[in-house]
Amino acid sequence: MKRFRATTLGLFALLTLAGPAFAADPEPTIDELLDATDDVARGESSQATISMQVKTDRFERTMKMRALSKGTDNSLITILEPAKDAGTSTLKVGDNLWNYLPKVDRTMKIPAGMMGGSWMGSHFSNDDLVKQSRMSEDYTATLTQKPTPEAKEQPWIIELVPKPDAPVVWGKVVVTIAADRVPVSIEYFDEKGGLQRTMGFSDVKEIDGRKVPMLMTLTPGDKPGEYTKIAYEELQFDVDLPDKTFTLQALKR
Amino acid sequence: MLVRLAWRNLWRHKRRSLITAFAMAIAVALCMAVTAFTDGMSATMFDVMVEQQLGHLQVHHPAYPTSRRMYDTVPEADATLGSIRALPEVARAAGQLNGFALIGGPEETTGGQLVGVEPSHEAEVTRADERIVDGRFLSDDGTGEIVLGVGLASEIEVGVGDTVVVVTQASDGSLGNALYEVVGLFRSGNTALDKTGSMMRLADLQELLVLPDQVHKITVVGVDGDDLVPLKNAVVKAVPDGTEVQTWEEASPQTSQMLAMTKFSSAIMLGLVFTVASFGILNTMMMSVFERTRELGVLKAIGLRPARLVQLVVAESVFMAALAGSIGLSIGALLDFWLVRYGFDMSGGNPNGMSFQGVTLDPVMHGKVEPLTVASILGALLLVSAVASLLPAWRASRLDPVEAIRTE
Repeated sequence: MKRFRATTLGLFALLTLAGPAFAADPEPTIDELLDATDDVARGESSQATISMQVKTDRFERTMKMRALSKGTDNSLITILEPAKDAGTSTLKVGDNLWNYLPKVDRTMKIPAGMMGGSWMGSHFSNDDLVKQSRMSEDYTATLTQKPTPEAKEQPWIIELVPKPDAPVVWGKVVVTIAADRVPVSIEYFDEKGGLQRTMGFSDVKEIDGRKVPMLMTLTPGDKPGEYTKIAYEELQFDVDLPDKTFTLQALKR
Repeated sequence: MLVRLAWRNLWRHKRRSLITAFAMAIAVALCMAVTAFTDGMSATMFDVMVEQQLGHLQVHHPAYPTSRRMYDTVPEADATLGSIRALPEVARAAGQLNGFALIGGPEETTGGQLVGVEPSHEAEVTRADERIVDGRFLSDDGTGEIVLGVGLASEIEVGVGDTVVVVTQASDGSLGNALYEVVGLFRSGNTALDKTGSMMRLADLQELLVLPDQVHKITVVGVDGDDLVPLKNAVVKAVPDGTEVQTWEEASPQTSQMLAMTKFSSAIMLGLVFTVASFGILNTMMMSVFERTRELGVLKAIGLRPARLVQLVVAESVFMAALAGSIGLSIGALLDFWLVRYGFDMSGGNPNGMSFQGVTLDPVMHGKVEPLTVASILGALLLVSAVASLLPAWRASRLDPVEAIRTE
């Protein structure tokens, strides 16, 4: 089972868009670019309505979800549609995940052995929701391309190779960042150089004066016809969420 | 006259004849014990692997045995099962659907296998009901019932009467979830299965996985288990297009190889024992002919024809074999009785017992006595002793009477 550990890919992470605003400051360092990409997905708190579209060879389904987050440790996602699954929730506290199933009125902790499994039928695994790493810390980066005075629109391309003891499963990661410093794609390769996953960012909108990709598409490398798309329908930052939002009691509510 | 002469000759060297006879008797007894043991082992393996696991035939999607994918199913399961059961060649058949799920008690949750079965048909085919150690097996109309392996039940801390929640990825991508009442616990002897396995009604699992009217495999047991060709031909016509029908030998070549190996190794063993025995006979008869050179010469001189002389020596040998056979049969019968009654512990102190292809077999192997096998051992003994005596007999018949009589 492929694990999906890099930060920006974490759905919860993406929900929490906040962080340093991109200013027209002098040329950034590689670490600054990577941190900005990681932090496109980090923030204090957020509230969002998202739609997740999963397409596989066998089925295609779209779910509407409400997602709340506070810091990097607390998240709560509740399915709103379709009606059959409405109310089904996932709570993340630290490295732990619980699912609440309204039909049977039960809360179930995802056992460690099942963390590699698919989350809600998507191409994301449960692990993707809880694993956190930072590109600037876990990888050795090489800048292979950057905007030049001649080609101002040329994107940054950064190649990452994991440090020896970094807790990542990839052999190589290639990050493409547009000239305006909004991430375009992250490609994940295995040790043999085979493309395992591509995460694409698109539909950039300005929210609170910052450019934010509103659509995120995950494509598995071995099944080019399949994908999981996550799109923001509504997004609010710095909402006031009480700590008790992220408890098992609240989950059952 | 010849018979009496042969019988008397045999007892002229009591000790030598008896020693040879005893050696042969022990060979016979050992062969009986070994064949009873291997026949018993084969019968057990056949029963566990073929009758209870594979059936005579397996019906499934061609890709399923290797892919194990949820989507590789046999469609129109009800109609297919109905037409298979209606075939005169078929004794019983059971459909199964497999899945993987999170199974949770009040506190603990773990990953487990789900098997959807048709309870009464499943009981007929795999005798799953006999492995229930607490509570009862599923009932045909008991919606929402589940039976768990004993290891799984203790891991999630539930028992008979408790409710478990089952959550799984359904075929349409949705999160299938439902509550089930634990009605029984099973112990299959297969530790891995007992730790992860569970069974529920086929209809319940079809609903949970959103795989309506589909099964992953159908196990068919025929009326005649020896000739599977007519059975297979009939079943092939009864299943939907694009569905594969395999005999158990095709479905599990390992099992059929194992069974063939068992037969082969016992044949080798028998061959060895009889080769050794035949050299014993050869030696005894050679000595006895050599010692009686003079006497045989006299017999020839008074007009006994060479052919009769051959008959005399062969008869002596066959008598000895008959004597050995009856002693051997008695000892062998005792050994067989013990093997059938008490069996032989094969575990060799291994607490996990013996397993083959993921199925744990009872470590105490019980013998099985096939009258035909016993008869063929005795027949082989007589044949071998007759053949082994031919050389000495031939030498006796070729004696020159004049020279022979002079020999001291």
